Amino acid sequence: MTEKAEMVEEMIRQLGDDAVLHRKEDLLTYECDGLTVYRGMPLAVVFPSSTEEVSGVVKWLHEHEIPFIPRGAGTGLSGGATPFGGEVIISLVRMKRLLDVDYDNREAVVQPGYINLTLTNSITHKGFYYAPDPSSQACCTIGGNVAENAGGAHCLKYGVTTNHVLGLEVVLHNGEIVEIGGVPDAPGYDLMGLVTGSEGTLGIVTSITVRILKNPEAEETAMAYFDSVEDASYAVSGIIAAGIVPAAIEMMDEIAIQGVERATNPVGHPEGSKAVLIMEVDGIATGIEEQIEEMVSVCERHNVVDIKVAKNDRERGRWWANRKTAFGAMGAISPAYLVQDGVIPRSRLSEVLAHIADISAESGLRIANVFHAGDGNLHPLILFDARNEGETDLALDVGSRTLEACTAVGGSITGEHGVGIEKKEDMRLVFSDEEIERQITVRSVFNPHNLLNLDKQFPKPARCGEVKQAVGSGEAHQVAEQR
Amino acid sequence: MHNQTLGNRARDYVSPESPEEVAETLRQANETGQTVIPVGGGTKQGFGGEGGEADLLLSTANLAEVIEYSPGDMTITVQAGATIQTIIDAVREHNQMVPLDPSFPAQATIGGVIAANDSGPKRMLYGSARDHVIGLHVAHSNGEILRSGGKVVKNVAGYDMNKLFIGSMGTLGVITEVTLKLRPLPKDQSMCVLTFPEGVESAVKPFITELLDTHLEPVTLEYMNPSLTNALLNKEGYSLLITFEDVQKAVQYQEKWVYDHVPVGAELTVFREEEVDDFWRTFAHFSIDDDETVVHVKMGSKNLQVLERVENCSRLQQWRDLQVFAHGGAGHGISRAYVKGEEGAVQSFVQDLRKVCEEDGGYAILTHAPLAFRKTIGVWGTKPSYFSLLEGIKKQLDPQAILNPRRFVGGI
Ligand SMILES: Cc1cc2nc3c(=O)[nH]c(=O)nc-3n(C[C@H](O)[C@H](O)[C@H](O)COP(=O)(O)OP(=O)(O)OC[C@H]3O[C@@H](n4cnc5c(N)ncnc54)[C@H](O)[C@@H]3O)c2cc1C
Repeated sequence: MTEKAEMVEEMIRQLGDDAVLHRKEDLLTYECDGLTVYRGMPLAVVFPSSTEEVSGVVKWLHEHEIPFIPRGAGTGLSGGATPFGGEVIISLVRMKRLLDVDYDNREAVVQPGYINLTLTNSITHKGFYYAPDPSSQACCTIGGNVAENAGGAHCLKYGVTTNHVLGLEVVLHNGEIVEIGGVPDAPGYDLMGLVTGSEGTLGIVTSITVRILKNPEAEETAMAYFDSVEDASYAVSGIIAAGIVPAAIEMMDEIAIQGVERATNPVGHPEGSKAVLIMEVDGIATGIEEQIEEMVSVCERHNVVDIKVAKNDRERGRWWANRKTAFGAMGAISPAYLVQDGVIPRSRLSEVLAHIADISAESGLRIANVFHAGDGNLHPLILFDARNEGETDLALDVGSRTLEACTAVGGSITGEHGVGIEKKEDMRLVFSDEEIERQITVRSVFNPHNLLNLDKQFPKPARCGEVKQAVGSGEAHQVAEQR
Repeated sequence: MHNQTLGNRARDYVSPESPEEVAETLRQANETGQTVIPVGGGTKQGFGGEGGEADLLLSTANLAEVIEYSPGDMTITVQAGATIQTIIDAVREHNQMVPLDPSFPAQATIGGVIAANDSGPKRMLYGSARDHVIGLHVAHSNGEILRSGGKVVKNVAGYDMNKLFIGSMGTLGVITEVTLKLRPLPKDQSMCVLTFPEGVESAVKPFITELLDTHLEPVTLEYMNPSLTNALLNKEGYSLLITFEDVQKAVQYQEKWVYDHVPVGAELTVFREEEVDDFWRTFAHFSIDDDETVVHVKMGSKNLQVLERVENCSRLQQWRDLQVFAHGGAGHGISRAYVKGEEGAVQSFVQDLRKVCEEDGGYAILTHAPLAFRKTIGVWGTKPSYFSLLEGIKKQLDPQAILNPRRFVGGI
């Protein structure tokens, strides 16, 4: 029996016939995640239904030295769940139950395959919600959110995933099950903080205790249009300087506005607007109005062209749908697009956006900007056409250059989408070899044989510096480079 | 500062003038096998450590500069030896604040607060060090200074290595530089103090549950036992400290809610504006004199279990000849007790308290106690089941265990 056949037989023995995919045609969907320019073929995909099943599978794979990748909904945008070729994907989508809600202590316990928005929907009748709200929240899993330390529009006020995780159950590389956190400041190093954002390289998260919050009493959303990105950027700084803590401040530039207006959730942004800000304030009802008024007056000082406040929840909802579907909306104006995820100190917004505009002009590729302006987390969307020879490579290169523009002002290469495969080499823009090496030594404590999400998140040590992208253009890149 | 009975002392003392000097000192110590205890303001000398003395006490006293304050970005970068008060003062001119309210802000350094993961009542709304630290520079025992995180408020490049050092008690490296997220100072504040005479404290839980089911956004829900209530407020019974920080109208509205819902038998006092700051300042400086015998316990539990923890303290005190001052945050899960009395009585008190906490899935650790006391009953309680991972991390980052030997969990 081949190694693969033996593995498949064992997986079927452990999980049952309906929980194992291994035929090529069934595996195609699992060749990549939300970043489709890199692809690799997994050996098999397995669907455990319980922590014990995950543990059993991992134990066997560990003993047989077969690398494996945890996977949630596959919406990741950096290739975190994409195989290089030859890994077993452990899909957590069947572990999708809400295990417990404790309203008094403001906690909920979910399985990793539980969908982010489903949690809010399940507790909203009691007036509670789960704060981290990635734009993909209708389909991404909380396990995937923990692995990426996902953010979202409202993280400006409420923090990202790591600020909301209270406890984790984790299956370690050898199948051992551990529980970490559970109560605040549990004695010992903060493994919960370390595992959150580790992109599936330190363990498989099989249960998550998260903080849930009471809905704010009131929320108001305003939309402001500007004639220039600079004015909009200064308005953002002005709002922050005024001491307001907005729940969210999002920005879209002209190209992004064109995209969302042509896609499925148009809201009638005026033609020709150079920038729009979506700003939200929430909290105690009596205090909201003066904060909105103050935001309006800051915008007025920065030459706002038009500003309006949502009349009701329906309008508010439509505005957010327009913003939250902005990535996909680029499909309406471009055959393909690449999402980047740089972070800058927010005081440098207009300078960096100008730099990105230059990169766009030089390369000839259009770049739309849709982003979390309040915390300086940019999402340059690089529009390209994969059918044009060399354009995929060009888009990847332009993406890296936008990240350089961010790190040049002291920023970071990723604010919420993670490093995955895509930004491994870009890690060198922010960290020295020693700093990368040190993180790899920490990985070795949890993942000594590099079987757990093999070779993700970190570049190879400088000595054997691999080049990030494969050859060829127009096509998806086969990233097989190991085993 | 160099208290004999507290331990964590060393034969020699150095106070490097630069991060590079810190790193060089560590490199040399590592080469010669000398053990090093890093120290900031020295407020945590009685926290952790069951071993003997080390070779070198390495102070961050000369690394106290504010390196970069960017009000527009609401971030500040400071050297690790800067005190919390230094940071508070530096950012106040732009109406900003560092959302950390640990004990002894004028002495406690930011490096020490992070290493010991100290926090105060306001973590209920604002969070603790792990929520505010966005970047660190750490001198490692091999002499390298490595950065983690960065200067931006959102960042997922690589592992969140900052988290490893927060609460690590200086066993993995010496923090030399810290970048923090700031917040705007609230425009207005007030504090509603509810006092519950003994016997009426059963009204506290339903009151809190009702409050938490409204849209109110308290910054603190700190519960104090009768001894602490008496010491800080000069009132009888248990007390609940409910702070609001917001725009004026929102503060007034919330205050009014409390006024309308005062439980039967409880008494309401309202503090406003500077009175609130004054109170929290006194609170942060609370201590029982006579350092020789006093023991501080930190407990972690689910949020509302804090009420039981505080009441446990009073109950376990009853038939012992002890003074016990206790408080805990019903919105954040951390409780603390300051205990004084005859050694045997304190010991059995802590052991009983620890048992109750651990049975509930929490912990009780000693954040301050004489060395002899720590040796007898242990600082950290039962070892976690995943101890080998903690040990593994220590081995990777400080292979010769020169940093704070045996200061941490399980003798790390
Ligand atoms: C249209 C769109 C909009 C988006 N908007 C945002 C946004 O606003 N903010 C944001 O942060 N992200 C956003 N994302 C990115 C993505 O949705 C998030 O990264 C999300 O957290 C991934 O979840 P997932 O379940 O799809 O994980 P996957 O893509 O399946 O996996 C992501 C990574 O997590 C690991 N992993 C998954 N499950 C586990 C587990 N149980 N244990 C350990 N490791 C695991 C995988 O190995 C992989 O490395 C967006 C994506 C899309 C397509």
